[in-house]
This record gives sequence, C-alpha cells and structure tokens, in this order.
Amino acid sequence: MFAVQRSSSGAQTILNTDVKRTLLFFLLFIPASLVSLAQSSCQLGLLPALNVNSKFSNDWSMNFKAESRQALIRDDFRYDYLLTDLSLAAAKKTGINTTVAAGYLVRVEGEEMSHRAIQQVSRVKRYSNFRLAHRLSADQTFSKDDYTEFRFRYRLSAEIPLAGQSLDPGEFFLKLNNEYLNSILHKVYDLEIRGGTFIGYALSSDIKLELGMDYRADSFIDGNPRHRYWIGLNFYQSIRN
Amino acid sequence: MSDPVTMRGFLAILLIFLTTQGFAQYKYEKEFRIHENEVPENAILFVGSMDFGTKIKWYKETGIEKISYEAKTNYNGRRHSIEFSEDGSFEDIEIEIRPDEIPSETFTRITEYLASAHGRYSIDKAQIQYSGDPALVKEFFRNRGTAHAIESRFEIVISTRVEGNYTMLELLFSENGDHVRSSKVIIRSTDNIEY
Repeated sequence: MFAVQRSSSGAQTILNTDVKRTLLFFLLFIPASLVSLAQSSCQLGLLPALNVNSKFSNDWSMNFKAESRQALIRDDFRYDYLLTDLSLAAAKKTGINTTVAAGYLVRVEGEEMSHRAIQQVSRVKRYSNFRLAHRLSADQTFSKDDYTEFRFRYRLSAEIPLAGQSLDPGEFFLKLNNEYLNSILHKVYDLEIRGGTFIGYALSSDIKLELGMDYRADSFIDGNPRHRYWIGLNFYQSIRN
Repeated sequence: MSDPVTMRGFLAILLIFLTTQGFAQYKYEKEFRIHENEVPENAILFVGSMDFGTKIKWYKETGIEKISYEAKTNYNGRRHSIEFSEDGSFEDIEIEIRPDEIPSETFTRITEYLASAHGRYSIDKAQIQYSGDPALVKEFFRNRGTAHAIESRFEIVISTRVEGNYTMLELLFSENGDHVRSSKVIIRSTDNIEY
C-alpha cells in the first residue's frame, strides 16, 4: 500500500536515485569479478539461503538456517549441485546490542556428512544512518574421514537504508560485509577472506530479501589461490513469539 | 540427502518455527528522506531563517495518526532536528547533548527517577528539546538569548530490562527533571547482519 503512495511523491525520486547508484556499483562489481574466472582456481555458483529467527521471552532466540551451494562455472559452464548446510543455534542477548549464540550445523555433501559446532558473539552498533554488526565466531568441523578443522572468524557487516535513516517496510537497503576466517586443519593454517555486497528489500518489519555477490579467496598463503564467487539470494524471517 | 532421519528432524524444527509464528500487529510507521520541494513552504522558511549555513536533510514521517516533517542538520558539531506538523507548523527543535550537559539538579532528578523506575539502565542518547512560540524559539537561537520565554525539556533514551527483555525506552522530562512520559523504542531486527 505504501509503495503506491510513495510512487506518487518525489520520495520515490530519491529512492530511485539511491537504488540506481547502488545497482550501478553492484552491476559493475559482478562483471569485474568475473574477469578472473578464466583461471582454473575460480568458481562461480549459487548460494541461496533461508534464515528463520524465532524470538522467545527473556531474550532467548533460536536461529535456523538452510543454505545450499550450486556450482555454475568451475572449469567450464556446468551446473553442479554441491552441498546443503542445515544449522540450528540458540542465542541469548547479554545486552541491548550483544548476543551470544551456540549452535550445530550438519553439512550434507553427496553421501558424505560432516558436523560442526559453532560458538559466536555478535555486537550491533546503531548509528543514525546505518547499522554495523561485529561477529566473532569459532567453529569445529568433524567428519568421519577427515581431521577436525578448527576455525576462528571475524565478520563486519553493515546495513545501510537507501531511503531515510532507518529501514522501514517497503524500503531497499545495501548490505556490505567483510570476513576473515582463520582455519587450522591437521596443523596446517589457512586464511580465507570474504567480501559481500547485497541489495536488500524489507518486505515487512520481519521479512527481508537480499540478492548479491559473495566473494571468497583462500589458499593464498601457501599454494594456488582459490577464488570463489557466489551469487547469494537470502531470505530472512524474524518471528516474535 | 544421505541421512533422511537428520533431514526430517531439521524439517520438523523448521515447521515448529513457522507454526509458532505470532500474528501480532505492529504500529505502521515510516520515515523516509524527501526533497525540499515536497516540504510545506512555512517549514522551509522557518529553517531558512535559522541561518544554520549547513546542509539540511528533510524527512517525512508517517504514522497511523500523524504525518510530520523533520529537518536534520549538523550545526556547531551537534545534531539538530526540527519537527513540523503536516501543514508545516513548527513543533519543536531537538539538539543532541551529552548527559553531563544537563544542569546538575535536573540531571539528579532524572537519574533518581530512572533508578527508581528501571533499576539498572544505561543512557544511550540525550537531547534538549525546545518548543513554544516559533518566533521566540527563532529569536532564542538567533540571539542566543535566555530560554525563559520558551519551553525546554529533556529527551533521554535508555537501555534497560523490561519484563526480562532488553529494551530501549525514550523518556521525556520537564526542564526541572520531572518525568513527563515514556515510550518504547521499536528495535528493528538485525538477524541479517548477525547470522
């Protein structure tokens, strides 16, 4: 209803200008990233994700996430289903901006399954024009035929409304994130760096949809660097019980 | 999927999540940036006469019962916000301040109220709010005159626990530190930058 009201006003002009600018940046980013795909260590794929967060009393919440990886380009253009991650985490707010969470993830990859224990603490800072989240996380991945992998990661994410100072239903936003993952597998250390740019839309105060590109680089410390580009489509549903 | 039991378990959990969803209705409220040419002329004239000399950003706020316009600017290193009604009539001007800039007697009364009403809390933001006759408010700002002729109040945003949940509250106090009203701040979901 509101989108109709706004379309008749000049507010739409500002929104359109901001969105156009963002889309331009976003569309330039994708082709530039694809230039290096000719190398064999590059990969392009799809990364759709469903995230459901259910809030309970006393600042407890549960987060369920389902994410699937599908390759589009590896050596050549070929669709290939890779894996699905399913995770569940329990979280407790320890302050107005701080949340501590612990969870479990199961990765289904063909006939193989691996399991991951996750611990994380996040802190959200609310500025007048955007919101910034710091996330510190540790995880341990166990599988039948491999050594246990230990990872320690830090992510910085920003959500920037594109119409006004706060994100309201029916408005677009820009999401940027940058993450550093340190991993140790059988005494071998590796660092993965991730960067993401997403354009999002708040369907309601509890539902958000995001489309964007997630870039991941690893194995550059000791070996041939691997570059992965994921087209992400994220659906977030927040439930207040 | 190689393990149908695990898959079924996760699907069952997801189903529980979705079916326990509440259908509470939330207050319909929106704030968005607008061009100056969409603002009532008397509001533009009022802000123009304040001689800020800084960039002014205009916002429109729509609620169920009220539509208002807001001019925001950073003047002398402080955030200023001037609010107008739908027809452009001046309502108030708010200036962000540090809590220790509130006169000590007033601040003591405010903190006494906060401690008795909310126990543990932390102050996230403080603003001084001027309202009254628009001409007098304008005069006060131009000449840095005394504030006796206009009404000044303090708006304090705190974080505290209400019924076991961390909450942000916006409280309004009179010039002397008497509590006027409290309202809950709607905290938008941040799941998409936390998970």
